[in-house]
Amino acid sequence: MPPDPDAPLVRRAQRGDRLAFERLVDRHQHRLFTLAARTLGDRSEAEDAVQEAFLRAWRGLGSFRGGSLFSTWLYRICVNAAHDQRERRRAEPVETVDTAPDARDRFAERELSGQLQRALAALDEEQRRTVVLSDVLGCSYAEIAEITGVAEGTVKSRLFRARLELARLLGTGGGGAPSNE
Amino acid sequence: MADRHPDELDLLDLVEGELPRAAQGSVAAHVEGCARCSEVVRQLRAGRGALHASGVLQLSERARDGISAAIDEEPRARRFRFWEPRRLGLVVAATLVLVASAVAVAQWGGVGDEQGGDAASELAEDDGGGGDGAEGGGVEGDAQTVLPESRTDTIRVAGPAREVAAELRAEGFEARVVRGEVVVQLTGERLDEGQAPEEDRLQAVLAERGPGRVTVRVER
Repeated sequence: MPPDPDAPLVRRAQRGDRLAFERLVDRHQHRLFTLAARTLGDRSEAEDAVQEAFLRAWRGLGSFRGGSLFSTWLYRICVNAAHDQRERRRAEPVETVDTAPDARDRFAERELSGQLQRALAALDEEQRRTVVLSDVLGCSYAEIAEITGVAEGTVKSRLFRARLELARLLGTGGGGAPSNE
Repeated sequence: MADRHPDELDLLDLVEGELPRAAQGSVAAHVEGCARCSEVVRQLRAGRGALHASGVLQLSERARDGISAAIDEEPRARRFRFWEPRRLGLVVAATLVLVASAVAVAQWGGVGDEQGGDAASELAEDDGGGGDGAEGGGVEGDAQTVLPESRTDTIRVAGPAREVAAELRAEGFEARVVRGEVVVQLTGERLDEGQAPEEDRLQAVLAERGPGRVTVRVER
């Protein structure tokens, strides 16, 4: 595992240093938001999931032992928070109360209503989060395996299928996968 | 074209640059001569490129402030937990010392009372002050325990708070809205030659805004 650039801040935050944790939030907020937004396809829900993820991280900092990168640990929490958010929405659809959007909100809204997001929405949830972790956030097979709790082989298989499907849906692909004839 | 197509995941590894060196040559050569596999590789690259080009979305400042506000409402991140292995040992040790002291008192008529108590408090202090678990046995009050040498000043300026924080961030300060107040963290970092000390720059920015109802908390 490479040295964790977050380690000094994490140690301070684990001792209760709130400002150190705020800096960790600043470092990772946009990437967590991207993960949640691309997975959920809804800005407001993604914001809730990101807030929940950081809250869980703050509460659970004591259990982080540095066995993985802090970002990997955080992504795993975010994946779970986004999943829970989706389940809640399924169980009890609620109207979201939204305030006036700022420029970033509008940009995110536009991105999440575009062709790429529609293509992502056509993938199953596992494929979607795998391809976002890999192709947007640059996570390795091993990191994705740790974040999503599956074997690396499963990660590769999901990534393979997701990429071909995305290419097809976006009109940049042709046929399907080869058969081993 | 070779008789047998490579495994599909080898094609993915080829695209990702993760294929073992020994296999790279043969797989690449196959792909070059095989229309079907080269098409799959093209699609894999297209699928990756589509998302990669979309980049990272930005969380709005409003949502960012919401995270700080939510954490504000939380109690401390960690509490003293007796069952943590390192602490458990210390708690057991302290208990044994207390028991031993009580036995000594019973046997020798109260002479060891103070000593036993001191030993137990020393152990408790060791635990509170050392290493990762330095939250002082669950004592509340982050700022005092974590930043014992810190100093905090408050200034009241014209708001709104979010606008003040944004202006300070634009000037290179770490500024955040917490419970309606603007918290500025001065880093004390060495400044480039010719640049005013950060406190002077901060004062200048705040003076520009003039007095008002928004509290700016300056932490050092």
